Amino acid sequence: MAGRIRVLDEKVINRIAAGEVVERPVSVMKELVENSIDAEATSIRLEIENGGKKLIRVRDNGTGMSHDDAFQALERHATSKLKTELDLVGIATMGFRGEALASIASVSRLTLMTREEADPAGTVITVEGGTIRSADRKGMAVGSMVEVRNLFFNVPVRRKFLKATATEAGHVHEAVTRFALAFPGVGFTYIEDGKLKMDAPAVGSTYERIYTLFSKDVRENLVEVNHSAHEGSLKGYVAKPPYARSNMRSVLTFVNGRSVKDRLINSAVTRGFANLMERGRYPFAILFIELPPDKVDVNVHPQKAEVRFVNPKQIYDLILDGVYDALTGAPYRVPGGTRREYGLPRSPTDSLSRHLSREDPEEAPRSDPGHSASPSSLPQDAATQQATAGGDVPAPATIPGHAADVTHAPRLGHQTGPFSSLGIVGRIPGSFVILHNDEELIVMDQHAAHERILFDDLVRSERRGEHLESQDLLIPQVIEFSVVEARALARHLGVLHTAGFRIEEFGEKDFVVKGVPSWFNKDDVEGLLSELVDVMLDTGVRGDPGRLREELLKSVACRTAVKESENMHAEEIRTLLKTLDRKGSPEVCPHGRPLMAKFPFAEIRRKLGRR
Amino acid sequence: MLFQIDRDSFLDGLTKTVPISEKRTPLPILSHILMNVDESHLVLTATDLEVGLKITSEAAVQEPGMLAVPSKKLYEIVRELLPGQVTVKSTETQRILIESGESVFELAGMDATDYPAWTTGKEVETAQVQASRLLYMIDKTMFAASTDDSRFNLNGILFEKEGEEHIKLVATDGHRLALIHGELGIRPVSNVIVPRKGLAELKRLLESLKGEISLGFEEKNLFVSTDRLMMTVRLIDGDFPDYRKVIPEPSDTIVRVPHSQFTHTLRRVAILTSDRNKGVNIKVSSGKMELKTTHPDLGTARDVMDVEYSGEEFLVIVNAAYLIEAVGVIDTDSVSIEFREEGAPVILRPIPSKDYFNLVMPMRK
Ligand SMILES: Nc1ncnc2c1ncn2[C@@H]1O[C@H](COP(=O)(O)OP(=O)(O)O)[C@@H](O)[C@H]1O
Repeated sequence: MAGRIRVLDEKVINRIAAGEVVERPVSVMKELVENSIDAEATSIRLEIENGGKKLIRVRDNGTGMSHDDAFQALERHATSKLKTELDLVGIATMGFRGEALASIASVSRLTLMTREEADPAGTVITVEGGTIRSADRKGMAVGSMVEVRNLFFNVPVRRKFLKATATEAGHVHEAVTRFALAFPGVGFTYIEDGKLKMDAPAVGSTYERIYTLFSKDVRENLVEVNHSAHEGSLKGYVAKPPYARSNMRSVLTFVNGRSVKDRLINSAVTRGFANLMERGRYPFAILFIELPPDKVDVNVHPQKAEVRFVNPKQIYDLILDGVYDALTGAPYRVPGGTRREYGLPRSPTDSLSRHLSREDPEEAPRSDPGHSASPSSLPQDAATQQATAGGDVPAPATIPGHAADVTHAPRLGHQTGPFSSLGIVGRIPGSFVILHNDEELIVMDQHAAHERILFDDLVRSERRGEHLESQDLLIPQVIEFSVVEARALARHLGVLHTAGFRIEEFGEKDFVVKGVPSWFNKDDVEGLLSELVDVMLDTGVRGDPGRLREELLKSVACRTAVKESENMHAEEIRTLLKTLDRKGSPEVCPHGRPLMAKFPFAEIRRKLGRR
Repeated sequence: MLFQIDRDSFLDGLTKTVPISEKRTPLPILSHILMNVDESHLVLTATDLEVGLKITSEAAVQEPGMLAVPSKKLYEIVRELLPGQVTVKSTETQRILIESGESVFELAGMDATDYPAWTTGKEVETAQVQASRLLYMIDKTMFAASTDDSRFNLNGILFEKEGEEHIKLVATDGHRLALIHGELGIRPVSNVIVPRKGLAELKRLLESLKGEISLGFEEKNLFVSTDRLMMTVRLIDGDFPDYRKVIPEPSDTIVRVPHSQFTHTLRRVAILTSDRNKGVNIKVSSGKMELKTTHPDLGTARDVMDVEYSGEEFLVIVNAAYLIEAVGVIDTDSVSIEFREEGAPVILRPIPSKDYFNLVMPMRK
């Protein structure tokens, strides 16, 4: 296989954005791992010491190099991947700079050990500060090992800029994680100062990889993202709020398989989580964006983390819609489980794109026709029947607002979602709903839950340019405002129309309410309107039309949702839970507050002095 | 207090009174039943301050007396006793002893003088009315009353004087309205609103009675009585909206539908309505009515039925549940539905026409 590496055409070199290839240990490690992946390795073992400042070692079971190629690889501008300038445009492989090994070798003590299949023995070359110190032949398994010691030993200025060991190691760890996610078919072992930090065997899907990499609390909250628009597609997983992180580092994004940290992408992801996250909390997201190579330029930054899109707006929308729909849209997929959907046929789930997740039978939706009952054919639950049928005690005229005798076990059915599978214990008079599952006692804020559902509906119809159903009033209601208020209100009647309020101007200061949303069973249109006018006049949001509309819809949802003090019958609680499932709602209200507080029985038992 | 009473008659009294007292209440005494024993009767009294009910039963009294007794427990005890005579006795310590055969129960009671006094309506003018007639008038209207507690003035039925002799009952929740008028033999002093809660109790009582009752009104109360019982329902103060304004002139766009087929069709398509999509799209063309619903997550339903109509095609969206209820109270085989221009009410009437009708406001998308 000699001669696979070609020396780059001068023009190509110039096209490559100028800049340093090697900046810090993590950049070295990335170059080396990319080489291993390019060499079709299925197992990569990474080791660092002192945050990589002392040692970076990458060993793979890839194709390896011939004796000649090993030498050439250490020369500047040697690469086997590009021939001409044209290749750069439609770039599809990971590495493209053709100078990494040589650059690294010039600023460290580098040992390359490599053997290709055809070669009976491997080649060992040691380079120090760019000069070859020794070369030898040695028996070894097929594959390569690159060891980089004392990075920047000969460039004190750079060495001085290296951060604390923990910081550098943190960067390396994050980068390994990103690689591991992008290449589930490759096994990764990562060792820091002799301690095993990651041991991720090769698996068939990104989801399985996530399963090995992240803790249970992350896994339990994941929902699948699967969205396409124009020529692009977005796949991956996001964690449903209230699950959140304290920084953006858990937003891991990839474009055409390449890990990127891009501002446009990050802001689209953040936006997709808007109204689901409390301030100062950040999403967990693993997202793979696939685009035709001519629609994206990954060659912008030498660190290769930033990208330039031909059509940024489309990408922004693709990500925003994909994330938002996954979090709030119904139905959505719970990873590795059945779809939260009733009655409708399951559409085949595309697994993540092939080169990311090497086709996987597990990833395909588990068709389970026996359990795809429609809600109307669901057996009515026993507790409800009991509650409605009544015993032979003369039924009271109104069911008292206390935790009626509705306690029953959580429903096991596969056809129910995570919310409807909860058991209803009852309701604290004038306050929250109490639920439970096998492990926890759960207090649900029914107001927040209802608000969530209403808000998502409102946003969805707003985005689709639809109007929610409006019920005409028998006697239209005339409401008066101040001149300033009236002007603000007049400007935003459209948003209210979206929500199902049919309000018309009626003279300079008066408005006549002709219709209200059909679900609006409160009577206080006037109170709601004056609250909305307050929002309209709020200087904080006035300048931002998008945010203003959102705030208005939030107020509508908040005002129209059931109150904490309102009496809810078992059947209504049941419906609320079912709707949460159907809508695939995240467990937070539009203000980002959780819908539920959970108290593990284990903790309760402990408090009760039980073991 | 010491008396003997037949278990069945005791139980009958309790079955009627206990539901009123049973409601959860911040006043513990209200979850009690007042037992008041005179020379030859046991009078059971229950009230939740909105509705009060007194029932008199024959008893063999040795010693008159009064005591408030926990209503639910008393009811449960008496229900489980074997038929026959029950001996009831109060103790010095405000306890009550209930004995039947070998069974003996002792229950802690409360001082009867703490029990809220309420109007008995003794001086009120009354008229003899068929229980079924009053029930009929309530049934034709009550469904349209608001269930939103905050709209207290819509939270019941308006009893209104009409002309010299007549009375009108009207209920509305702001989206629909039901009206019946006719003679009852008596009319309220002024127009009054009977609240939903009281109506429910009244209805239950009327359903259990046969023949005539006496009905009377006072400024703040409605009274219904027979020789052995007496119910008081507190009335709401509050202005009822001017419903007359919204009842339109008759329209020419009338569709006649067979009652049961229309109901069934509505029920079928209503399966695919939802919380946020309550409307049924009704398209009427010559001789045909098409009904369609859409559930945003689940799918759609469509049904067509033959109707008597020969005008131009038109379309209207109406809350399916409202329509089902509106048709539900009509007791003739044929129903007339009157349509008008957009935004005007849809009116449903029995055919042949009777003393009631109801109307529903349409919806829009
Ligand atoms: N781990 C490896 N296994 C096999 N071949 C490798 C390995 N690392 C480097 N090479 C070869 O050496 C060449 C030069 O590597 P490098 O300097 O990193 O540039 P680039 O990867 O950008 O092409 C690569 O094109 C590849 O052919």
